[in-house]
Amino acid sequence: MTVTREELLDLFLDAGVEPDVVDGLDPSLPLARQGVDSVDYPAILLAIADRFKVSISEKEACELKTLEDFEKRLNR
Amino acid sequence: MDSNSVLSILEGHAARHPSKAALIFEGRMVSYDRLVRDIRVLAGELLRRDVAPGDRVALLLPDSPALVTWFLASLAVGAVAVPINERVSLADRDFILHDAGPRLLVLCGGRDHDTSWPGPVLETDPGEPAGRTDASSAPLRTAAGGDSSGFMLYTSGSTGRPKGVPHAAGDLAVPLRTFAPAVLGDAADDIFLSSSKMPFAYGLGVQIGLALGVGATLVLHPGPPDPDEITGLVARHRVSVFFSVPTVYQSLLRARSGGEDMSSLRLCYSAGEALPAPAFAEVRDWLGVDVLDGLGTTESGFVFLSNLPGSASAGTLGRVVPGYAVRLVDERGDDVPTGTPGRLRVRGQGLARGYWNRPESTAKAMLPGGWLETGDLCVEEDGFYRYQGRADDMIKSGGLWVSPILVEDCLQTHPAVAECGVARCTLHGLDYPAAFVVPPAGVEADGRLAQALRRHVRERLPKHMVPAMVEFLPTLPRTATGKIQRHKLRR
Repeated sequence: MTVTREELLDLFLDAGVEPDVVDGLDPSLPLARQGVDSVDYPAILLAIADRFKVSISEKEACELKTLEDFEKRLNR
Repeated sequence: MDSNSVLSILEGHAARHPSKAALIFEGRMVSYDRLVRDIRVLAGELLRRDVAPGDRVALLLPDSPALVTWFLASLAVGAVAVPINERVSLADRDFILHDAGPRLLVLCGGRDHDTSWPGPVLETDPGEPAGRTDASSAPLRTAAGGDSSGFMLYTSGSTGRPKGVPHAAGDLAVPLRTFAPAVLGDAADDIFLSSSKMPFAYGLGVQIGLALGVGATLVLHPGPPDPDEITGLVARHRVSVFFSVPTVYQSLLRARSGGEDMSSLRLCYSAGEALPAPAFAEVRDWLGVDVLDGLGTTESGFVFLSNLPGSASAGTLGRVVPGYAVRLVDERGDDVPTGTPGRLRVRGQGLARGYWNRPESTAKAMLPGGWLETGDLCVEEDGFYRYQGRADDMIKSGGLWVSPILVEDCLQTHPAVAECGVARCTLHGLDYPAAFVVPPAGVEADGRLAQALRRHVRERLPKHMVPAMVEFLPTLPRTATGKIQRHKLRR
């Protein structure tokens, strides 16, 4: 499947990440250092499962630190 | 039990190592001698304001020298210190103040405080609460003697309104006799950091009970648990023992870039929610230490189930801490066999004897024979306990309580919610609130509505209470009498 960056950022917004955080994201830096916090993460993972029908394991989730990591995983 | 035991212990430290750092706050140090002196100054201030034994002194302060010193000064005059989490909602804050009825409210100077509290207020500087006033040389003793001194912590109730949990001052010293020998060993040379704040039993017990009790150095962190700030403090102050919750360990793991110097850590502790086994493995890979998981409650005072250094079992809460007795019982109150889940009860020193102004809640939890009903479910095998969830509908998310009723009441104020139920969903071993909504006829139930409902809660309640997911249902499961069966909604 193909998930565009725009679709992924849209999902982040729906998951409750603040718009100014989403706008300012550097795709190669850890999301957790750019304002995406511990309450946003589960919402993002659950939204990915719901919208893209992709179930991400606990082990995989530990490795998804940046926006680019998420894109690679979803576009496998 | 000397109700001033923590104060006596502190005086002993000040006599033995007066110049040693007791507190580090925003790069500045408060020595043991200075801390004891400041406690005397503030105790004098409380007496001047007619704080009498048994009076409550509310402390709406960040983790800071001010909170530590005013807390201990309250104990010194026989009062009851009531530290209040700065991040509670205004409604909860006002409820707590009216429920506790303090003689005095201490808060940070120089800020706008929006409160309906009409009583006496005292502004203090978070870093220098006692200024440079000279202190009397009188020892720290309760003004009128007796066991009136203590503290009261507020915890979430199932109705959503906070409940006051009173403790005797002596309860603070219990972890020094139980937890410290088993888990910490000799910790006098340690540098402590806790991401759990002092209005919580965990943060209070670690910081005032343990760190100051053993005469170690305590790094104070007033802000929220930002990963960069935490790793910065660990590196700058060579923190050796770190106490936190699984959600913060997870955020540290996600934020790490490899440049953080965490080499000073010798012990990492986790409580507040069950630590998933993969998180244990990840932290061991990163830091080379075992995260020790354990369980305690506001009512029990401090941790009574714990893993120990050298024998940590990932995915378990460890064994009973010496000094406590634990039972797992069925609905009738009979002990369950090994390997069968049961309701967790505990008995030991330092337990709260009742809730403040809540006789019914007290009767349900504080049982005959000194047993405390925790509401948690556990299973035990070979002496190791594993967490199995709650016997009630309460949710622990990010180490903090979420009352489903509170979140449901909030959602009900949204026009696109006809009915709703909130239950826990578990993702990768951690629990989060999930909302199940029946929309009114004609309303489109889609992602936009889910987002709007989550934002609705976000604007009204603390962030950890915001549902991580919203699912739309045609009906909710209910009993014959119409009560929502939240356990059927769990994911």
